[in-house]
Amino acid sequence: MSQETSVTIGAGTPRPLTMRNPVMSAAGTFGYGVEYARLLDLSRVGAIVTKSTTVRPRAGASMPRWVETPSGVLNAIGLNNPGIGRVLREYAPKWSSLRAPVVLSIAGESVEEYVEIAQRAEEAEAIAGLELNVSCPNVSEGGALFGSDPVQAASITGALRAVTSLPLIVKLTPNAASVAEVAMAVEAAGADAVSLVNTIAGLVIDVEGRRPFLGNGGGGLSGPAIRPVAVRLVWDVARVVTVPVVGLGGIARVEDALQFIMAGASAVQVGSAGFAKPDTIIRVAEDLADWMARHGVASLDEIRGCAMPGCEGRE
Amino acid sequence: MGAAETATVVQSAALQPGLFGLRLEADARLVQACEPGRYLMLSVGDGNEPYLPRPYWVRRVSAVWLNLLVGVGGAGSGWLATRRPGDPVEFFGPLGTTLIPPPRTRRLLLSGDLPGLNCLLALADRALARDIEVALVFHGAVDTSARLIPPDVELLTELNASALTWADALYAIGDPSVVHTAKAALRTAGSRIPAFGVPHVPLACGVGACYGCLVETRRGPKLSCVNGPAFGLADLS
Ligand SMILES: Cc1cc2nc3c(=O)[nH]c(=O)nc-3n(C[C@H](O)[C@H](O)[C@H](O)COP(=O)(O)O)c2cc1C
Ligand code: FES
Repeated sequence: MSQETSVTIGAGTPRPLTMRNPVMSAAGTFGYGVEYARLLDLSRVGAIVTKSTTVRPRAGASMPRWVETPSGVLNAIGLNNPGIGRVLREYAPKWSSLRAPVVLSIAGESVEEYVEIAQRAEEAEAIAGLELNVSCPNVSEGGALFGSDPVQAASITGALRAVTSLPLIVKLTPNAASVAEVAMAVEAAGADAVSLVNTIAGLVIDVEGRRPFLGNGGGGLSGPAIRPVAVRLVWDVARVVTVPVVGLGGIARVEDALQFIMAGASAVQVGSAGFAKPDTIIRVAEDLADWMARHGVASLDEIRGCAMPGCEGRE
Repeated sequence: MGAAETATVVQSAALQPGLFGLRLEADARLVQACEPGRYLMLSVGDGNEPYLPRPYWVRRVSAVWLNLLVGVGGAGSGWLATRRPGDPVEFFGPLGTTLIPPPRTRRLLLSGDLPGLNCLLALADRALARDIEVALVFHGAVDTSARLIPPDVELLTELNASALTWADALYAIGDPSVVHTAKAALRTAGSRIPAFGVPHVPLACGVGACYGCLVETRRGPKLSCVNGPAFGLADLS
């Protein structure tokens, strides 16, 4: 029996994103894909999601930018990136040789900045989709995160929907009062999928120095430590939206990915677990097919959301 | 170089308080690629604890053996200290750029501390093999009776004007404070020899993907794992 693991985001739209398997890289943990080209056969991953990219290059936060935490890592990179111009000039020409679809993660401090990047990405053939990082402060609206407010998140999604024909994934922050409400709002505004979770706000204090450890002060937490929170949020969101949900947060093994899928995710992303073991993304994809074969599961549809209320699980 | 390699511990020995040595056996092709300055990203622990890999500079001691001196401090080195002969250690790499003594160097001065020790020794081996004289200023207690330092390397106590006058090239390798001390010594002595700083910077990904290993230079911020590990000492801010 061969397992059906392909996933499409934006089915029925002009430029659907079809992935050979449901395992993608997570933004900011896989660079622009090319950094791993010598280590990994990227034709075996579902899709690559890039570092969040802004209109202009960003220097990012001061050092230290990360600190290891129990079963995780707290980071404040500060969206350090080379800017969309250099990304299109230097990285995009290399993407076709990676043989995996590349989703450009985009970030900004105003709706206009997001729109400008989306317009420039629209022309680049090598880009297969956009992931909208809304965990950014909206400078023109007083610095609150775009993604923590359903109205702001919807307005930015709508503005991008108006200018892009690419599949649009909106990446949700867990640092919102109701992530499910934000998810419904961005779906209504035209998102083709939602991904969750971005990092959870956290703080580590350097006790000897009597100040925050990270140069930025606070940071965002990733890794197995956040997995149960992320699975729970996917479970909440998958019940209220009809677009595909992409789950992430602490995925290091196939069992972790299966938790997200059984909570309702159509695809998953591997983030910081790849730092220690870069092949995690491929291992999870291949172990998923093996797991399905061993359990007599022919298609992901059979297990997606099977742990959700009202579903009976597998008899 | 693959994304998931395994080395086997062939020897583990306490060398002095706070320091132990591991000898690892790995694929000859990978060992061959372990040039001075290049590092391995070692997986330590069970995948959850500790979560991140540990970059280690290594010293090639035979066609299939690598030596690793490990200062005991945190959770990663603590885990490595529990490895016994026959145990596997997973890693990827080697990564990074090879360090070489500048052309026409006859007398190489090294300055560094425990975090830089593997790299200092690998570079010393390389220089000695090319008949370059090597002197080392080591910041920290090192038990020379444990034969950590090759006998051909002269141990100096201070990075001063006379050491800098003797040398025709300098590498300062280790904690950023050691690198900055070397920069200050060079300036005080008015020395114009080729001088490089190799600050030991924690790495999360090791390949330029996470933007987490910034080094500030006069030419702007650089990533240690991609643009380093060596920078012109005068360029480091
Ligand atoms: C070093 C680092 C940098 C990150 N940069 C970004 C980024 O640029 N954009 C983004 O949307 N998420 C970013 N993230 C968050 C990850 O994409 C992901 O949401 C989070 O790490 C949870 O997944 P994980 O537990 O598998 O790492 C970053 C995470 C880390 C650890
Ligand atoms: S360690 Fe990740 S960019 Fe250098």
